[in-house]
Amino acid sequence: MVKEGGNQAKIWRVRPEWPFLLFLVFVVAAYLGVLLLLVGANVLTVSWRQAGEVLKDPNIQHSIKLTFVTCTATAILSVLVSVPVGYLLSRYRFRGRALIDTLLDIPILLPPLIVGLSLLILFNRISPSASCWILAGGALAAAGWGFGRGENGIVPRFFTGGAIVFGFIAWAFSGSDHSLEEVVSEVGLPMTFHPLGVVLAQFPVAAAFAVRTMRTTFDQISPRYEDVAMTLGCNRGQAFMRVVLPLAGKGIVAAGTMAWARALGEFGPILIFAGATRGRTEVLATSVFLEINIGNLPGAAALSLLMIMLAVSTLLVVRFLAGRGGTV
Amino acid sequence: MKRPALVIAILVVLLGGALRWLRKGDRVNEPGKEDLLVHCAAGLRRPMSEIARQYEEEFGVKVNLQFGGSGALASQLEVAGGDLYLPADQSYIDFAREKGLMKEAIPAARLTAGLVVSKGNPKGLQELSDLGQEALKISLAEKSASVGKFTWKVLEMEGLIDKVTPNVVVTKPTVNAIVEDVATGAVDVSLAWDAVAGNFAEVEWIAVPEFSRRAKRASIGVLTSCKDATRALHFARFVTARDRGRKTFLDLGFVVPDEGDAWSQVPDVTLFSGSMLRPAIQGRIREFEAREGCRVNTVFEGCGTLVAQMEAGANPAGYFACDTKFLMMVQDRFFAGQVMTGNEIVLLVRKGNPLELRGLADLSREGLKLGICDGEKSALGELTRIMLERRGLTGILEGRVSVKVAKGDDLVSAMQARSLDAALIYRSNALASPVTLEEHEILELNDELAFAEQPFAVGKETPYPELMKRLGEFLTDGQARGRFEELGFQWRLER
Amino acid sequence: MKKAMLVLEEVTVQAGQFVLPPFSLEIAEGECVALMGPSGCGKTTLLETACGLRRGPAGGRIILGGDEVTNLPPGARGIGLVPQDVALFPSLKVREQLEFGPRLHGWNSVEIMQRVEGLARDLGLENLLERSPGKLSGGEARRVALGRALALRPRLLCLDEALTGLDEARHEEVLGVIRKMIEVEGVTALHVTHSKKEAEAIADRVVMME
Repeated sequence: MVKEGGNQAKIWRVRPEWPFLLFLVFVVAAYLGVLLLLVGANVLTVSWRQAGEVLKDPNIQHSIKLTFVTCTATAILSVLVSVPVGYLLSRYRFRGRALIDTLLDIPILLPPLIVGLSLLILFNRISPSASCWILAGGALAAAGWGFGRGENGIVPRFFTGGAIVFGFIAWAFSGSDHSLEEVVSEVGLPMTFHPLGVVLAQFPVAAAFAVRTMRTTFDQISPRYEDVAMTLGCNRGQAFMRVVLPLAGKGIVAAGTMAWARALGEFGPILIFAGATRGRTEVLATSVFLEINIGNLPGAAALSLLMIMLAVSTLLVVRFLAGRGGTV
Repeated sequence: MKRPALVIAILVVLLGGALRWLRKGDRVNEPGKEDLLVHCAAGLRRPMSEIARQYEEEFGVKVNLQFGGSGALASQLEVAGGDLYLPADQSYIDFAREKGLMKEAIPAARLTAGLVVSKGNPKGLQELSDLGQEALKISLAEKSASVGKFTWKVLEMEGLIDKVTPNVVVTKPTVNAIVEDVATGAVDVSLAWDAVAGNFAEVEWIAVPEFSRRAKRASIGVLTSCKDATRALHFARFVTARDRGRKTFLDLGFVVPDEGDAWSQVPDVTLFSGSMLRPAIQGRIREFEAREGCRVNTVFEGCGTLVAQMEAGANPAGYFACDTKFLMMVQDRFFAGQVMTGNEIVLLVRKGNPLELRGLADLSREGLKLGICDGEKSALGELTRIMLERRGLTGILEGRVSVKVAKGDDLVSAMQARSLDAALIYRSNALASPVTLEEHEILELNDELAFAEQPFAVGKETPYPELMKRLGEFLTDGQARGRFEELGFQWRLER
Repeated sequence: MKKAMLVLEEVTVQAGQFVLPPFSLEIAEGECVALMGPSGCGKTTLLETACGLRRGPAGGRIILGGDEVTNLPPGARGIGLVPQDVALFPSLKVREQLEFGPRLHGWNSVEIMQRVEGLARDLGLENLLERSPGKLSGGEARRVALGRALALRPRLLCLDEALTGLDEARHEEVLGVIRKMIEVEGVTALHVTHSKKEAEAIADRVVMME
């Protein structure tokens, strides 16, 4: 017989667990329910005949192709950029790192329209000369920062050299009336209202997300591996290529799919900078907008479903790869 | 990832391939310079898409249509240029012209705003003030769209803003979006263009006087940033041609402001013009031909002659007359003319005025060899005759005059040939050639009758009335003015 | 008097906020020295500085085998490191771990094969050559790390807390292997540890740090 007394331990009473569990399940169910309703609403709006019509439309088919190509191009570009940037931010401590970090997040924070508008203005209103002045100024500031800190290593000299080169180009081209768009068009790379501009419009935001992902990836890889590799004779570059990159594989895939998904959903900058010309610069995101605009709701719903499916499968791929020990 | 270098190489190759595909996909129709970029109001999406398709089919030129609210497009214009702009309302054209962004504009369609309700009008809305009803859901266009700007303004002017605003549940950037809201039942009513409402079977459009008496004109205009105005105008003409674009507008339920021009690859028109205008407008006409890609056959004669030709059956598309009086003789063939310039009648004498002529009265002197124009052949002659009669100098007319010619130019030639002592000509005749004033001088008559006004009128029967209107504008725009004034014309046109 | 392999001359190191007082040490060729001290006294920092893994010493000189290496990168110093957390490259098999250094320095394949097989024999890794690091036990991993560090026949072998994370039963085994390898390879060794037992098991000499 158990006596309840001062010298015997009380059996602790625990409150029942099920209210909490129910609460959790309720929240999850409610949230999933909303998502289900959103998808379901689309499914119900789509008459399969109209969906078929929309998908048979050669303009839409071109839009799908263009979406794939631009998203892939943007994703690859983002990966190629974000790996070095993420590595630098992760491994090197330098003054102003916090500032650079914040600057790199700007495309994520800004409304996408501003990205598009800035691109439009940059290419059509600002002369290449002015652009070079801006770059020269930035390089000079970076150089000044480095020198101010007492370093006279290769990095500040690199920036000073850059400042001189840009300044020279700017001076050489000053007075020229052409816009940047005219210059790039001359060399066969038209941007504004052209397909290449779609990639340029998708890139800033996609890359920003990729950089974040890669930074975290590299943060999670112990610097110890590089240390050991260096004692074995590697310089930093060799340690990076032979030891760190292989480990970052999953992270890179995650960054790439993240960038791909962001590019898929990007709409504002593309509309402003590349336009939404049927059969030319129209991607799925703008297709939906255009279908809505002409009152073709079922068509828009069909495209929405297509995009939802694409987004979901992308996420599944990411989860799958990340779950195998990678980092997201 | 076993070999990072290999993966990177593969990625770079893929990227290169993707970018090349994008560039190629761009060049299917030749480099971007060949394509036309049109900023078009969203409400005109259906007709314009169809017209662009037809145009591409007929001419193989791709037309990029950028749709949006007229106001939103206007801001894009300034930054990104383009070839053509088609807003839903004239005010945007004016704005663009003021900013020097636009040149000519051709009216394309007429849009009237009204109430858009679900079919059957369940809420029984009849008047604009009904929008202040209880528990009514309204969707309006934003001010960046033409219809938005307009309807908000009218609501304010009618003092209905305070009653209506509480019922406005949503604003959208294009007119299509708000009509769609009514079609899906999300709102009860919206204020939109008649033609856009016509696209949706689930709605009906109700006219209200506040909007009907302020119908809007959508015009397609050529932007100054356009690289090849001829090609842009070619398309603009296509859009507004009565047997091309206009037809499409009508088929899709749009109202058009007038019949519009007939379609022709190279329109061929005839312009009758007073001969004294020749030095002023000849060069400009060539420029117009090049810009519009048309042919303007010009006939420069004394107005009397021109009128006679018309009475004999000639049917010019336009008439730039020496004086309003002569236009009035054939007014029934033309729409109302617009006075563009004025020309003073002056007395031309030898340099130094050896005969010491001072005014009209001196002209009745014995032995004076005076030259005037034939009153039946030219406006100058007619005006001279009227002037002399009114001043009591009919004697000159009745016998004393040595020379009577058909045109002022001929008098100048006679003066130069020393066959005349004095001549009554237009000032512009004297200034037409710099040589003239080397040996002669001008005496002003200071007589209010010594003046001619030149109106420009478009023929009623020409198949290209819009083209002719543009010709008239082109001949007398800011650039032309300088030339006119150099030649002694006075500017009469208020622009 | 045997030649000095490692000489630390008044080396001052900056560790975060605080600066370690100047430290001097001499290790003769072939000698094994244990550096002991309470945790947090900066011994690992000193070791890393000697390896060149930290931003150079704030003061003093480091001389290895007669060459001044104070400002040289780690790869140029001729050092082998067995870190505290072993840190085998997760993406490489055991054989590839051992081959890493020689491959990098361009040894021909015959040399590489011979060296790897020699090490595998000495370390008892013959059956483990094709394993991935995730499938090794603590003791096996440590032996691989040791082999990796010794593959290039470095002038100095640095060990940081060689027995961390191993259970008692393994201690003797690993210590034995380390002792044997030091003898077989004839390498100079610096062992940083907080355990007297560990220190005395391998070292010829023990140096105390404050």
